[in-house]
Amino acid sequence: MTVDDPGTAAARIAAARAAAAEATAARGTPGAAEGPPTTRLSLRPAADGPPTTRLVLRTERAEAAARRTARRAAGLRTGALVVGLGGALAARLAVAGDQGVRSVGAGAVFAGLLVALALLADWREALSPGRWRWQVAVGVLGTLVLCAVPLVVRLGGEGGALPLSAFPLWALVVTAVSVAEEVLLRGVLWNAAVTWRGEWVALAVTTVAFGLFHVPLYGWSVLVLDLAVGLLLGGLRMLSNGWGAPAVAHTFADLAGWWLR
Amino acid sequence: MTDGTAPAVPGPAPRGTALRRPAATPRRRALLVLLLALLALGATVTVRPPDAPPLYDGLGFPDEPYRWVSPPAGQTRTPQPPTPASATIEVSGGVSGPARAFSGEQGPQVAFAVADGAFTAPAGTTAIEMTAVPEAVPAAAPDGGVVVSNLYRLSATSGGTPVPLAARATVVVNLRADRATTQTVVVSAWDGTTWTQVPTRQVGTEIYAAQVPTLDPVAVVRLDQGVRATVDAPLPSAGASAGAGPDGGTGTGSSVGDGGIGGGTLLLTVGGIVALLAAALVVLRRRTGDEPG
Repeated sequence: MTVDDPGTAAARIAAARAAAAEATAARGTPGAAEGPPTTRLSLRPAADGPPTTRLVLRTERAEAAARRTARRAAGLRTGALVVGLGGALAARLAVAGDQGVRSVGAGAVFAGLLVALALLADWREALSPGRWRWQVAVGVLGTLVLCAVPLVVRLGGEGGALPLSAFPLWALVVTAVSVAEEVLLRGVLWNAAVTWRGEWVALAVTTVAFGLFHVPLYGWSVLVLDLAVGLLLGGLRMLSNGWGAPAVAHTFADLAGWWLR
Repeated sequence: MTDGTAPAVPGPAPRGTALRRPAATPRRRALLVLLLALLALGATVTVRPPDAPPLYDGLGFPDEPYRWVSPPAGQTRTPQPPTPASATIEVSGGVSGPARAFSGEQGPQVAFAVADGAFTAPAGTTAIEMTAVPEAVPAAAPDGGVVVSNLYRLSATSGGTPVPLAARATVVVNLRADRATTQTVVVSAWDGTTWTQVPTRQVGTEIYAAQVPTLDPVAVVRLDQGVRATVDAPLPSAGASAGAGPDGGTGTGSSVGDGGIGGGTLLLTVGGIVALLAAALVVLRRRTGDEPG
């Protein structure tokens, strides 16, 4: 019998399962027989065992190969997304010209490029921020944390008075940029990095990327603060299991900067 | 399957599920990361400027209204007064070090920068205090123009004694005008009786840079329609910029095109990169069986 003979294989597997269930029951471990088939069949020993064992091992090998391929693809995707992020940033700088980070048009172009990149890479993830109530709750918590220090500083001193008439357009583009950044960083890039090397690597990649890609816009002096903020946004992503929460915190903190500076 | 009628071997995962979506995140790990982030954010309190926003991101803030010492006719007085820019310049072995400073407005109304050896420091000097202090504009108007900024008085002192600029040394000054204009604008120095135009370069929407060879007070002068400056603008490579501040809204940064690649070429290059990247991502997605729908 080989793997090309599934009917016979099925019969043998069913017999093996029954035997395993009986053995489990004899040991007094109720419920164990209801576990995944792979777990039960792993009781069987080596590659030179009966045909059933060979069948399972071949399948496991195929699964492992598929996982390796998926990881390689995710690694490539992670790298491509980071390069794409850099390209979008360069485009923003080129469009902004003398206006630098204040350019509304360049900000809109940047947001558009990020969203396009995210949709191309993983449109499902890009359109799935997570369960909205939980995301908003965690996001608001993150906003309070991000704004705590500047709020205390602002209450104890004087700040500039920006004209409110400029707020609506500014707020619109700020929202677009921050949400686009989160869709790409804590959404698509996060997922790719998790598949590639796991959650800790995803946290590291997105945090460092978040810190570094603000340097050309604001200078090196902002790196420490933005790395810390990136870590917090990554933590919100882990807690909420979606990019909605970091997007909420990121957006509200950006908007609060109109008053808290 | 568990009914015993089909192979109990786990088949390939449904497309786009098992390998795409990570397992649910253990809350404990997330809380650990959040705790670390809180500690990191707490640590930034010591290094962040007092007027720093929650994070540096999104768009820079637009300029606040110009802060006048004494607003001209038609302009309103802001609640906050204009602020000075000041820097402490270290002196080592009789040679003064480099320094730059910005005033505190959003964005700064004055910034200055000096290079190594800009000052002739008296023996025993270890530090020089340099400031640019806003003052009311003199009543005497410049020929063919109007002053559109405060007058900024530059000074360098050590222990209360003025320190002169070294021979052939200059101070780079960036001044913000009250608003953007398409008319010719020049930085002008005021010697107490007359205005003298200084070669000026625009380095921001309403930011103008000049290299001044003295510490005379300076201001921004907008020339009347049709009036030309009596001095030539410096070459872009002259370095007449005090550099960008961290708030991104200063406009005091160097202008685009100071070196290397042109804006159009850069755009084409970036566009090409993005297009190639998009194509690569599409191919990758198809190869991993992650097609939409």
